[in-house]
Amino acid sequence: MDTNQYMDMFLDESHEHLQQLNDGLLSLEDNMEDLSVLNDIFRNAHTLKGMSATMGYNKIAELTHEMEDVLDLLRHEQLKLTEDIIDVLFKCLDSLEQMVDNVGNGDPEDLIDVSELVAKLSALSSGNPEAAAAAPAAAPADAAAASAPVAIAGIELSDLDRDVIKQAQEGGLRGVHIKVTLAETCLLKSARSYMVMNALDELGDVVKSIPPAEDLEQEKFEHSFDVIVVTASEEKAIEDAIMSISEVESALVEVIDLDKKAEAAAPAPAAPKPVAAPAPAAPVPVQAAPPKPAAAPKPPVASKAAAPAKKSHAGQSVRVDIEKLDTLMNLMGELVINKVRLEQIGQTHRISELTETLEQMDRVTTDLQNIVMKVRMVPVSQVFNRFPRMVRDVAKELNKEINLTIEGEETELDRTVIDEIGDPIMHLLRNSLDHGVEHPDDREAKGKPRVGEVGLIARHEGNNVVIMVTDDGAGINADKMRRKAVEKGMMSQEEVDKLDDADAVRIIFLPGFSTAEQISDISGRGVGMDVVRNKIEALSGHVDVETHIDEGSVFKIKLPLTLAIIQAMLVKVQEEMYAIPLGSIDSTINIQPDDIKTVQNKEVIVLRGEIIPIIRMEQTLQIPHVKDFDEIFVVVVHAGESKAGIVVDNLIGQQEIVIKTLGNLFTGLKMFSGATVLGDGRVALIIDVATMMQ
Amino acid sequence: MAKELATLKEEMGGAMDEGTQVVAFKLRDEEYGISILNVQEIRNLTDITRVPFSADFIKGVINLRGSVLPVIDLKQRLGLEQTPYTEKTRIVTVTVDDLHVGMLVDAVTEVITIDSKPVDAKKAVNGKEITRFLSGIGNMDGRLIIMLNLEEIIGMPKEGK
Repeated sequence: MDTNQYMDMFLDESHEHLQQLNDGLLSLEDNMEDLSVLNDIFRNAHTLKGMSATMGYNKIAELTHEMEDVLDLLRHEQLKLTEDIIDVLFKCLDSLEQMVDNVGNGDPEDLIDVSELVAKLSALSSGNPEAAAAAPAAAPADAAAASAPVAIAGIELSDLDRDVIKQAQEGGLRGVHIKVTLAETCLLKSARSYMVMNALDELGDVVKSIPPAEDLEQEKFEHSFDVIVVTASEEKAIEDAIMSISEVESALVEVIDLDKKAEAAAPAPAAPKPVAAPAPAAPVPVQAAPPKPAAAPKPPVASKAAAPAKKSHAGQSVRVDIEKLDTLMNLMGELVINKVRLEQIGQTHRISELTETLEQMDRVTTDLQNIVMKVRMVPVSQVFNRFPRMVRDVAKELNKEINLTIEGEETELDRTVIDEIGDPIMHLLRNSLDHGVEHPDDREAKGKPRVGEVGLIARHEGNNVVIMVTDDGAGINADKMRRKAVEKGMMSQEEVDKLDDADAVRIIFLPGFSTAEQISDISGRGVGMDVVRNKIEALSGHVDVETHIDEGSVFKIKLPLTLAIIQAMLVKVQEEMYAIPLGSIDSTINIQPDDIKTVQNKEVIVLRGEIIPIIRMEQTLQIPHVKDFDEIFVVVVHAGESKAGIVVDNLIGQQEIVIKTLGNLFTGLKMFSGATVLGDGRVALIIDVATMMQ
Repeated sequence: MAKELATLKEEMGGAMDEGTQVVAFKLRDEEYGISILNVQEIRNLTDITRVPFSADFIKGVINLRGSVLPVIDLKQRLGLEQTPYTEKTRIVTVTVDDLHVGMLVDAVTEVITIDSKPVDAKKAVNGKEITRFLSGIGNMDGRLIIMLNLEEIIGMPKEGK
């Protein structure tokens, strides 16, 4: 069947399941006794197998099938869970991920050789006598099926279908074959068949239909079609559900008995359809299934719950080209500018009707803008998800014991930012694992717990999102940094002597610096923190580090929430207007000229006991002096930990502004992060506070 | 378009083709021209926002239908003497290699077609530094039109060349 149209959905869902498998295995590793996790893992593997087989990716299906065997033994406690097994399972996940990626890139899935893993898995599962017995038993059946496909009441079952039904039976479900016949007079056959499929979906999982779903949609069938469903419902209930749909003439429901039909493969197809009356051998498999009542009731519920959830997910989200979102964002920007303009016209001319309409429009544009922004926002968990696994692998490699804590993964960031921050964060984490956290023995010697704590924390801070990578390791030695910088010829002795400790530690962000005593596989290949810093700054972000010897280090990345529309304070200096991003502003105050004092020839003000240096914008930006002002307004701003007061002549007010780039002609001009068009059509420059404070 | 023009110019030995449509404008008493293919529109003078720390000849930025457009003072760029803005002052917005720039000129005169082959500027203006901004001089019945080399004026070296 043509599966291309389902490709995106397949990829999305595969990744979702792989992620869940990953999470599951990680928590299993933490708590090997917790068998309920195993059930989840098993279900994920199972779904993955079903999906990939449907799409025709047999290698993926094969590998997941083997995994499933091992998992099944584990969850029935026929195989003891060891670390080796978990390692093998993790390796399987890696291979699966690669295969799915290959498929996504349009490559064949079998670029990766999984035979070794498959062999390992089957060795694990056959290490158990029961499994060994089960395997050969299954093999002949498969062989038989391959040579002559098993047919049940005129419907052919592939190995996979049989397998799914078999699994379902083990889970206390039954495979049911339904033959639906529509009324001869039925006009919208596709719609009716769709309703039938929907009804069946609610009762259980549809394994297959003959003809396939697309053909049903395109009415490529006479008046009847066959469906195989895995369900917990009674035949009667199924029949009633289908018969309740109008224009359905009849629905024949029959429970599939795999063993029986396998033996009776030959006569089965000949069996006349009407004779396959409801419920011949039904009670037998039903009662065969629940010998383990403890485990049995759970899976049906879960699988039923999982199926509709999957459906709604696929139905509610739409994939959109990021470029279209950018265009939408730009148009939104234009709209906001024009709205502000209209508002000013309304105010100048005092037209009450216009003002009323504008208030309405303001609400709509605000909502619209929020939605457009939200559409572009993605939770950081998308990036964070892959780190627990990475940390585990790296920790193992380094023989360190690490506990990773993740906080605030629901924090949202602009899509374009999310795509870029993965690598920098990964690098910071690796750095913390490699250089930060000490070996367990060393930690013990220092009186610390053997297990090192590494944290990955995201949270909002004003108009920014802050992402922190923390560790409770050795910290960064400022003197060592100074020495290294001189050794590497990056700075002279005099230069490093002038640096205070905090600045000396920041040497880590300079190009060509790597403190690792020996070059390890993990980090310290010279392409270190400067790459991180460049990347973050390219996103208009900021990265800083704070460290205490033997207490640990905190790497702090600060990123703008969005790159397009911000709240800003408009200020006037002489005749010129500038915008200061509200996110950088602490407060604004009104002072007298003699409130400005000097400390070592530098002008400062004292604000609530704090001494704050001031910046006179008129001088800094060489603004032509036109007239004198009696009052002085100070906008107290901050960048990182430091504060400053920017002296302006007037505060115009707070306003939403759309950031426009200044363009190529002004590259290298760091003082302004862009420009914006004001309500009156004039352009105001947006101050980059961090640069102005330098 | 700009690229076609560039290759065309190369073939002609740096001079403009005959029959090129040109937007002619005045800087002081002299008449200059640029290919109409580079011109987007001609606007009246509006408020220009000064951009501190930028090059002298960059006057600042203006709002062009919601986007921000840098404006350069052409006289200053060509090293000509400054004159105050008048009501005839115009901003000619041009596009060169995806770069949009507004240029301040004293007045826009007309759109004309230069049919005679323009003279190589280097021959006319002997070795002066400013010749790098010129691509040729068109002679229209004794009326001289100085053709400008926009790539040089906007000062962005072309990539891949």
